[in-house]
Amino acid sequence: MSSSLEKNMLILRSSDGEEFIVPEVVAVMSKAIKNMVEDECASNTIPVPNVDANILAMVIEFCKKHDESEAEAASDLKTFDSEFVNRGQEALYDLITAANFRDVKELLDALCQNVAEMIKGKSVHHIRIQFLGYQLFEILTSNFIWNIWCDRDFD
Amino acid sequence: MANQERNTEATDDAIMSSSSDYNLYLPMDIIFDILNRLPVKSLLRFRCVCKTFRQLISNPTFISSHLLHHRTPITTATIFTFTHRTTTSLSLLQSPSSSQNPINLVHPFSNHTRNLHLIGSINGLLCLCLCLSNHPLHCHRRSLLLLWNPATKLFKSLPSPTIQIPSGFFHLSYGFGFQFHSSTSSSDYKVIRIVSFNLQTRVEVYSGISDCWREIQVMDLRFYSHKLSCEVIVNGAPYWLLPNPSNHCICFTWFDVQNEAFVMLPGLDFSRLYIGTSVHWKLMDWKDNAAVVVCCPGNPFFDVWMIEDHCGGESNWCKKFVIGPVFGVERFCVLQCTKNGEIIVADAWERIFLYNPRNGETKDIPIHGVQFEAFHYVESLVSIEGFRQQELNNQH
Repeated sequence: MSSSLEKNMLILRSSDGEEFIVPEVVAVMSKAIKNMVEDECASNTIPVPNVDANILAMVIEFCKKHDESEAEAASDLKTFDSEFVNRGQEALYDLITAANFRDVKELLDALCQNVAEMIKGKSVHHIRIQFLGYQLFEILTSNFIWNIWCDRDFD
Repeated sequence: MANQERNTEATDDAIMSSSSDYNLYLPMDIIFDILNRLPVKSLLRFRCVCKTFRQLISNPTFISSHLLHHRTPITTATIFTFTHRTTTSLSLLQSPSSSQNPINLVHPFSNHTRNLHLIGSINGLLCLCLCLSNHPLHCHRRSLLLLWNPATKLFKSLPSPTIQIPSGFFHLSYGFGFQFHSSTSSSDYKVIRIVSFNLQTRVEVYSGISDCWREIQVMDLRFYSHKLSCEVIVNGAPYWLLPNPSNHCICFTWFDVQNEAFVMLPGLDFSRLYIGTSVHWKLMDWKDNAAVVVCCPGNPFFDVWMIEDHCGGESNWCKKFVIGPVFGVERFCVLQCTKNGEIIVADAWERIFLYNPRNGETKDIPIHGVQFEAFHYVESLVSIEGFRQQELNNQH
């Protein structure tokens, strides 16, 4: 039915409809996908909801590197990891969510370590903004602006 | 500027308390994972980020997971106790291999420095014994025992022991032990106090959970340690040297913290092994095993003896490693083996060096004093019921 080439490849479809052809060994680094493949509930195309093409590409890049460099020196992989996770805050959070949701342990490890290094020396105020989300930050800033505006109006 | 920062934080607090069900941007298990990787110093600061953080950081599951994550060979630090003139000090060397200088630790009763003894260090908790009387003869009759976490600056003075020391000649020794109840997944820290007088030995145990001393029955234990503290603590169990005046054999016992009983170890006979040389030996924690390290003056190599179990259920000492040569350190003796395999040695003039057996290099550790002892230490959030905050006005 399916040729050997097809058997070793999987198609992952991101939330915005882009498709990625990846080797099965790479795809199954995600526990969630591995379970789907093992339970044979995966057809040729595996949908990856909640993860857009941009982030999915990053996750695949990470998994490919880790798959290839099994035999490589651990220090090389470590350098790659620290460079890979060194991204803007928004991409970092999207990656964490993707890695958590798809259960990619190595990526999650590297990301959490990076966030830990990032926030180690930060102030409480910084952490509130980073962890309690933009939502709260927006409330705070809008309240602040509102207060200034009110003060001006009544003065 | 600082005031402004405080003001914003105060507003944040008001908002936090008014809306308790705000959303954390990341899932809780990820926040757990990230906080788990942070040093104690950062975590203490982040307790006031929000209620969720505070609850998580003081949660016993988080505390033990944090300890487990940080109890690696690389992150295990070394605490030195040493005497300079008449003052006993504690010094923390974060990572022996890095070029960092040791940090002086200020303990809760820092004005009592004359007779300070570190009994042991387990999971970030130190057990200290301070003698309150300046008179050398009465020194151990009036002493104060402390459990102290230097990372969180929390401490507790233990209640007075119940076994009174009689007048006349006596020996006193303390041990510090740790026990993990797997059934209730709770842990207990115990302090063991051994009093010997008139050929009689009495033992009492303090438990952190019950917060009191309780005498235990010991059968036939002849005990007169010349040291106030146990020789070493391995995997939470304290080890003592037992006297054996009949021959040159040295005997050890360790305290089974769970069953509250002493367990004898086979004797190690030096007289036949090191004929004609004076030996310096020390019991130490060699990568979570009890080991006897033997140095002979003039010999650049030293031997490591460990207990080996034989198939018949019998166990005996056997020489596991011969390590060296240690060059450039004259008449050295081994103080401690760090968790990542480096050896702390002292020379005849009590200078401290770090010897790396992998490349044979020795490095000077800049601490000056005499009567050195070295303990493993890992920073942790571990606390005991009744802990209170240490006053920090003595710190510079």
